Amino acid sequence: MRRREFLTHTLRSLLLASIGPTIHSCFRGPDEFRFSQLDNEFNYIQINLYGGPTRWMLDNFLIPKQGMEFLPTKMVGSHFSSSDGDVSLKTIERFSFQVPHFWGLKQHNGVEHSELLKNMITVRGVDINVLGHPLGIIKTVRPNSEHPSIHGLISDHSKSPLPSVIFGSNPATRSYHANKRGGLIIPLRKENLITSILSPFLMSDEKSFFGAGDKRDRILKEVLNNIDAVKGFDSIYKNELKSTLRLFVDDLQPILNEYEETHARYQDIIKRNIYNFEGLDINRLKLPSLKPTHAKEWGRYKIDHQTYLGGENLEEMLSSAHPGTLSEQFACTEVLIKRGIVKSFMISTPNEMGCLLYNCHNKGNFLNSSFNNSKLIKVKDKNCVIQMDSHETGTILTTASAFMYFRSLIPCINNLKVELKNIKLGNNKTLFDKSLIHLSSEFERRPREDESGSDHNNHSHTSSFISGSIKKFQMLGNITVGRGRLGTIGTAAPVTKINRTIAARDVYRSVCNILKIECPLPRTHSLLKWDGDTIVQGFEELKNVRGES
Amino acid sequence: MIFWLILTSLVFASEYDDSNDFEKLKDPIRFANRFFIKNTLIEIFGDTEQVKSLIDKNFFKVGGQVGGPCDIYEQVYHSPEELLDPNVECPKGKSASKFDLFPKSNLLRSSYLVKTCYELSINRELPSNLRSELFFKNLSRAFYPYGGDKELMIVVKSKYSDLSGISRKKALLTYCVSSKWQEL
Repeated sequence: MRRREFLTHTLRSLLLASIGPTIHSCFRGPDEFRFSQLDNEFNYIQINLYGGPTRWMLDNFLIPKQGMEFLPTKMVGSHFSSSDGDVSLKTIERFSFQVPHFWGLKQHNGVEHSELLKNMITVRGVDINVLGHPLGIIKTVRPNSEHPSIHGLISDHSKSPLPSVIFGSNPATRSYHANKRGGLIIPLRKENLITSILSPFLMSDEKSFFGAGDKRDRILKEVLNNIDAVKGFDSIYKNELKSTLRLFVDDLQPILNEYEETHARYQDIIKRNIYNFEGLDINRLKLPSLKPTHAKEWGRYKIDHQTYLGGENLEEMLSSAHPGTLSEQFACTEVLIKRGIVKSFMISTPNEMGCLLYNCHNKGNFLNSSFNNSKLIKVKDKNCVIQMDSHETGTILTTASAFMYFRSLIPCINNLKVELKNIKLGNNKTLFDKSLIHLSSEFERRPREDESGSDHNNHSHTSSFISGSIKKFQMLGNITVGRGRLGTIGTAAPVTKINRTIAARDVYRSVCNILKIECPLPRTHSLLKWDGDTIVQGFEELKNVRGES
Repeated sequence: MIFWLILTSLVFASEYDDSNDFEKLKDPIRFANRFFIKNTLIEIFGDTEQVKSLIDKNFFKVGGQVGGPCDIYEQVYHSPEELLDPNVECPKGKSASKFDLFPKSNLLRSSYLVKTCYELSINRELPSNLRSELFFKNLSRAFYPYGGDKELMIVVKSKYSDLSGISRKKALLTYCVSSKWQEL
């Protein structure tokens, strides 16, 4: 060791040893129960649409500015433009950008969907560059297998009692990896999600939670105070025990009650919005009642690999469709984030199938019973599910089902925004200012020529970020215009500033940057940055450039 | 004054750019995994079916949170349904072989341990060696055979010197949830 280094280290140690504890005590104060401190850490909520549904009508903005080059493609649309089921992209202007007209529609409470845009930054034209759903989604949540996933990284840095809760059982949820703290992965087949999350605090010999018994509470408090009084025991462990006690004794029943109310609210929001087809022009649509002569002509009417739309009213088919456990997941997220118990969530799909809508009625549609086109029969009564991964879903149902799903999703996010905004923190901040909602999936879709479905476009990924710290609607990322049959579908194009296409690892880096966590990934660029206490886009580049899709 | 300036500049001079406010991590302690915890608790509370099933239900089953991977190469079957040693069974498939070897401190682990210890200590009869006059000595030997519980013993003795049934149980629970016997 050189003399200068030796002196530096010695003096640094002496000085810190003498004044360190004083400074520490001045700034940090006594250890308190951590989950009452809402303003210490950022919350991160990822809404992961595993299965890769089309987002052209939502946030994959294809013509963000007037005059930008755009080449229409069959299947790419936001409403029905003819009785035969043609779709087209209708845009409106909001906050100086051209956005799909979906954003101009109103929710049940009269609020426009575009209310969310005020606090949103969208990154389009991200190149995932791997094939298939599992690899695609892993690339977005854990771009480098040597390092933790986004949620894992947050867990490692979080001081909250339960650092991460991941809903569902699919490759996105299984990619969770942390170096220091485990997350809680909750399968969506569970009936009551909040009970599953809080199950560690449920006594096995009783139906009630720990808080039900006064005697037990007293004993636990006394014993855990004993541990606290012992000098030399690890402070992290002591704090874990304190938080454990707090969850055991004080807080569970109010949480359960609040969850019930919140869940009912989200259910109501979904119910009031999902069946509102205004803006889709579904009335214009006339489904054929005759048997097709050749399946190829029927591509756009496809429901799945064996069934075709026909004869019945599409509205009736979708009259009892619902988006699965979306309301439960949103309710859990809201309740636990408001109480500071969990800091990061992944709202996702129950399994690999990535279902968009459940409980649709197939009655009256045509079933191809023998894979021979001449043997199409009418379905009598059967429930069906519409997949996010719409390989075999034709134009009509792809458009209608995505419309319905987003009709329920956006009001839920808007409601979460309002609820988080109502929680006031210090310095004129709200909990919404300290939260980042990230709408993501693995990739956008590539329409088939016969409109019988759409495949993967692994060169197109869109991420939308919503936060109270984002003060105006912003957008970045370049896409190609396309050529011939495949027009503008959102395929990534290089960005001048980084001299390559935006990659999934840049999105990971951006989240780290906003959450003020050191990003372990090398060679990455942050797409978002802090400007004082406001989140802004990292660079301004938004072009549709000439090139193949 | 000059000396003070030199001193502070030396102290705060750094070869790295520390301008960001990224949070620095402190390593949490590493704990023994579920196999060690289960064996220790069985040794203390008795090798009975009731004790084993309580530990299994409350602690052993949640390997993902409390650590201790199973070994898929050591599974020996009596019959297609029954395993010779459930300790190496991988009931959740291959993923159970990827559990942490040694878990780090986390709230869920603490909760499972508190729950297990509570049920073993408070809801059951005291183990026979902890009913004697040598209660504190035996308690210390049970959890800390090699010492390391001096401070803990001071606290426990100061509170539960009456040696009544409930005091003994509370002392036992305090020892059970204390951290050092589980630390690596």
